[in-house]
Amino acid sequence: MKIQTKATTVLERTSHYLKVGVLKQKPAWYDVVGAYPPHTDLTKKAKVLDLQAQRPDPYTSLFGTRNNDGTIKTRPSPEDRLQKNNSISRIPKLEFLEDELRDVFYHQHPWEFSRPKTLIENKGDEFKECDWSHMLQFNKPLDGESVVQRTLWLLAESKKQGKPKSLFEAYDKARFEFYRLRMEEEMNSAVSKEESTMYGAVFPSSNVEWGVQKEQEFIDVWAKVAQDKTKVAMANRSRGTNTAAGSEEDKGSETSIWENSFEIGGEAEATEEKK
Amino acid sequence: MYRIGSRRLGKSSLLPRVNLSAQRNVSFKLPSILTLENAKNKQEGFNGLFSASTVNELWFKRGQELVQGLNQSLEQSYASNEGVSSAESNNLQDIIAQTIHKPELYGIYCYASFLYNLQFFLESLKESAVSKPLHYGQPSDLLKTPQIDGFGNEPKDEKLREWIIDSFGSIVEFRTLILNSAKAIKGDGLVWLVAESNLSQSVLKNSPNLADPGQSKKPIYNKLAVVNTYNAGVVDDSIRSGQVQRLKQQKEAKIAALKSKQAERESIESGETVAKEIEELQNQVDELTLGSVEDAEFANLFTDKTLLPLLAVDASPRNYLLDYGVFGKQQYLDNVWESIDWDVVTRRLPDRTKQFINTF
Repeated sequence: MKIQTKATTVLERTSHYLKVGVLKQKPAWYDVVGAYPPHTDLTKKAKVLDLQAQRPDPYTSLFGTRNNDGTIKTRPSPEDRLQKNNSISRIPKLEFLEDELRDVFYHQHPWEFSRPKTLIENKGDEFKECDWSHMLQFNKPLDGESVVQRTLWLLAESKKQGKPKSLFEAYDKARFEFYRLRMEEEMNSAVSKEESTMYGAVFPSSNVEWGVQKEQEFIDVWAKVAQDKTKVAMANRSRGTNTAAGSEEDKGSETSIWENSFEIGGEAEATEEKK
Repeated sequence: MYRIGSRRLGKSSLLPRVNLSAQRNVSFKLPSILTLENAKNKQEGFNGLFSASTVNELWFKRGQELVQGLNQSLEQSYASNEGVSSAESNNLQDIIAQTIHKPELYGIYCYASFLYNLQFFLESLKESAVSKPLHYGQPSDLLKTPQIDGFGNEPKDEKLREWIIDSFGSIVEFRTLILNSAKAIKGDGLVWLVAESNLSQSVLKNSPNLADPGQSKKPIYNKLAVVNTYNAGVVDDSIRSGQVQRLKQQKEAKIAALKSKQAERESIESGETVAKEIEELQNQVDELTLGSVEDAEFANLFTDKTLLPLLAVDASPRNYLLDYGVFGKQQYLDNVWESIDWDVVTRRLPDRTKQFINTF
């Protein structure tokens, strides 16, 4: 910020205004202040500036030097402007043990990814409601994250009790608890279905069946297109074999309709070009 | 049919055979189970599983009610001169087999099978050696991770052990399976360990190399399985077998009947309406679809197979509510495992065949 010095020059300014004619009359304080001007400068200045003790900015030392060819350097070159110490401005990589455990768990259990999961949290502090002295939580479904958190809890707890476990042991214990609970969960759903069937429940169609039906609608459309394209492809191929009789390239083109159905157009052109 | 009559269960027999043709009015009495008689009079009850009052409620009160109900409904059915024929109805299993397909005898069936299930469960229990206080369940017990290992009372008998390990992989896996199935039952129900015959009843009946056409071949067992029954369900599938199959057969019969009808009419008139009807019925069976999940399940179920019960675990709430509370089901089941009398189970084992026949 620019240092404000207007207050100290008030007498100077006023006399200037009087001389020019901006002010017609002398203010009442004019003579008094003129007779007894303020003897201390009340503007605040930075200490170092005041003492002239600050070291010169190294940046300015770049300039004013005489080069060999007699020119004088007045501004920084692109190389001077280059950021030499990148690591200061780089965002540091965050590394957590949890992430490594998650990585291990989900590589070992890839199908856990297929389970639906809610990522929305209302406050962001839902984790505080969990108590990892047990695997099951009231406010959180059982999943890979449970294994991770339980592992960390087991590690910390074993350390507290003076019998430290290795990470591997803690993870294994959590993992087997997870398996046990998953088994229970699965049995629960199977038995529930059987039980309600026995009591007369009817399940007209499952979610999976509904999904298959929806898929089938698109497959039906596609099947027609594929049929037509197959006909074209077969016709083209037979033409190709007729012209280039027994050429070896044709063997390579014997891929299934599933593989090349969407590239048949391009292939047909290619066969025409060959001719 | 079950082959565990009074001969096999020596000390605690199943219901006594009362000659009903001689005295029709008094039919069943509550059988005496020695361990329960002892537990009722002791201070600490059935050691490690039930308190004395619970034993009284579960067996002596409820059992008595079931027996009374059974006797009453039997009398009524005798009086109305329909249903159970008195000559055969002197054994619980016979009664169950006779009444299961008759909706008008539903009451008798329920009483009989409830009584049979209850007795079967309680007879396969023994008191644990060390007395320990029963733990009344707290809400926090819901979140407890069940024990993976650290349980006792493994079956000692070599034959049984081998059979269990062959069928389920290991004792731990078997225990987990049977207790999980029990825990998952929401209402009344039991989990059974059964010996599964390796051929279905219909295959056995139709097999060409039978010595006598009148006799059905004896089933042979080579696998154990875990089965749930709910309410008054019975485990033996040869009794309740093929309810779904029977529906299908009825449908096929209907189509066949309509076809013959059409053939008759065609000589007289065009037979359009009948043809339509047949078409509708046949359209319901779509040739192109793979079949429903139910069909697949049906094909893999224990349908039409003889299942010989070896062990029952009652998971109904009435068993644990009194001593363990609403949250104590897991604890109750753990205690049941510790109280299983494997000697009884071993005695119930049929002969095992190791011959492998594809199960169909």
